[in-house]
Amino acid sequence: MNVISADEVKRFIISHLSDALRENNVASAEIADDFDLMKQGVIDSIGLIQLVSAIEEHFNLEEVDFEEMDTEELTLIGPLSTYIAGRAKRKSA
Amino acid sequence: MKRLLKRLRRYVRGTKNRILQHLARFMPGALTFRVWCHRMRGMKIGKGVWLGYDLILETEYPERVSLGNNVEINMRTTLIAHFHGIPIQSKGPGEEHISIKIEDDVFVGPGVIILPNVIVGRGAAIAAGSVVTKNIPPMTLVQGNPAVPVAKCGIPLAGPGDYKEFLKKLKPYKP
Repeated sequence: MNVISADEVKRFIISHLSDALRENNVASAEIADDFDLMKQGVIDSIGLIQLVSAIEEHFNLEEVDFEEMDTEELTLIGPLSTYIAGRAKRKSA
Repeated sequence: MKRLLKRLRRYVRGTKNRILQHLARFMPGALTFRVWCHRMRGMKIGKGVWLGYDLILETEYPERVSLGNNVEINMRTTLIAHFHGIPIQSKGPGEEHISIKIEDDVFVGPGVIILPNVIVGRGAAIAAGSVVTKNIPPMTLVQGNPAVPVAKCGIPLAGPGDYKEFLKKLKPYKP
């Protein structure tokens, strides 16, 4: 069974993007759920796809699709983590 | 005399092509005037094509470039359709002379370089600064030098579509 919490996903995202966050002078502890990774210049389209790949590999998930996610929340760290954790839970059920 | 006339014709044609190229580089009119200039140079261009600022679209042989419908090419991109007599690989019947073929709904980011004998498949997207050296499959996002596939696109990025919607439908490329 592959149960992942949103917090775990968020922690992984922060550690995966640690260099980019540092370059943008963002302290990991300050990252709220509504932190927009794209608006803050932490990732671009390629960065997003690399992040999704890394999440899939790290949590051993098969192709996460974002069809049911609100488009506006796609790059917000909190909703993104919650969505991925939810997908993982659904697949393991 | 015949040879002189031939050279003169070639010179006049080359001058006309370069003047039109320069006008298209700097004048406004991404959907209109710039497209018209390149069509006048002999380039095959479909409908709804958007050409950004300061593009260099094959200086010597513009007729070797074909752009499909709704193609978007962003600023400072360069298309090179010939190089030291390298033969053109036919792109199909009626397109034997085409060296670079960009199919419908392709998005070309800023500062991209596309080299000769390349087909960019329908709905593909090329990330900024990439160097395209070989064919790109349809609905594929490529990046880098040389450009390699990084994702499959669910919808094209070119045209009026929403950027976040495009991002949402990207899937990591798994060869």
